[in-house]
Amino acid sequence: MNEPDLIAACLAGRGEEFRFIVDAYKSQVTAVAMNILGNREDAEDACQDTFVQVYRHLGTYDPARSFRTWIFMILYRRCLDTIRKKKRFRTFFMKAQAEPSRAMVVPPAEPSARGIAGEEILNGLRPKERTAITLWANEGLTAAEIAAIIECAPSTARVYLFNARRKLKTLIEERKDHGTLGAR
Amino acid sequence: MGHWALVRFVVRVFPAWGGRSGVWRHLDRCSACQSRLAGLEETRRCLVRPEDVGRLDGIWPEVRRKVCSAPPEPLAPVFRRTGNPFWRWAAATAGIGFAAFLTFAAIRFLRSGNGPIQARIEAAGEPLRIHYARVDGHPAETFIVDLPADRMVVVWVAKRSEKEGQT
Repeated sequence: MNEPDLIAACLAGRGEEFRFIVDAYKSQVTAVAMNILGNREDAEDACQDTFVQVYRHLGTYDPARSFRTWIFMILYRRCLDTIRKKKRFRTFFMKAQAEPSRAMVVPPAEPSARGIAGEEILNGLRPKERTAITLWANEGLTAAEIAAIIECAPSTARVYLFNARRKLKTLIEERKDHGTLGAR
Repeated sequence: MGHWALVRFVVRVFPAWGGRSGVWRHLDRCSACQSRLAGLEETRRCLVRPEDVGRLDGIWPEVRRKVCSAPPEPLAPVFRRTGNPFWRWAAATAGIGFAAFLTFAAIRFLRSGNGPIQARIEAAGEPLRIHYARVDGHPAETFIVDLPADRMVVVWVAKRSEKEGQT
């Protein structure tokens, strides 16, 4: 069953069909959320909330738009909400970061793809820059598609992408100089 | 080096400039500028990829539980930016200007001593009250005249006229 048929089935009340949509997108959504939020627990929560929101608002989805872009738009809002909540509890998170066992939230059986060095590098970027560069590199989205997700002008999205790539290059070079960026 | 500095300057200083498309075209072509930006593969090495996230078996049961148990809720409201950026800037500038004008006018009004007399009397500590006034045993009309320039308040008591409206 293709995507429009699955959406139609869900709208017709066959909620179990939504499972196929979740299975199709959960890896992409979780990966993007992990890159924006920096840890797996928050990313999985954001992923669950995103799919719940997608299901509840399927009726407002415009088929003329990309379904994937719509999902990422909802995910981006959820991630921003999480970041705002985390800012309110900054003290708690600073304490958590001081404890390596809590900061390293990726289970040992499923090692983080980017490792600690990669996480530190992405922490040097602003959330919008992290979102833009993740969508560009992971999902292959254009500036116009990124702009639709983070709700800004395409030229502004290009600025986010430019700044993210520039900062990332600088940080990678710095890590190479210090020998802290491990090759995969 | 020179054009890279120019590119950074244009991107940073003119965030809403429409003519910046020439800068993007230059960036796409110029290998020297490209070498100062993280490439696709370089970036991917720093990111979590979809194939790296592992098993996510817990997502669907949790989503199904939430969808079935909780009532629908509206999407978080989002401030949508629409229209020409020029008008957004113009509206923002006009708003700031109007707020500055109101602040200036309010300060000038309060400093000029033309504020509400009741507030000023209360601020002075001793409230001025006239319960009643009589002239020749009959109720009289009272007037309070505030003369801020002379730092003076004049209380005027007048005998009520036999005819209505006259004092």
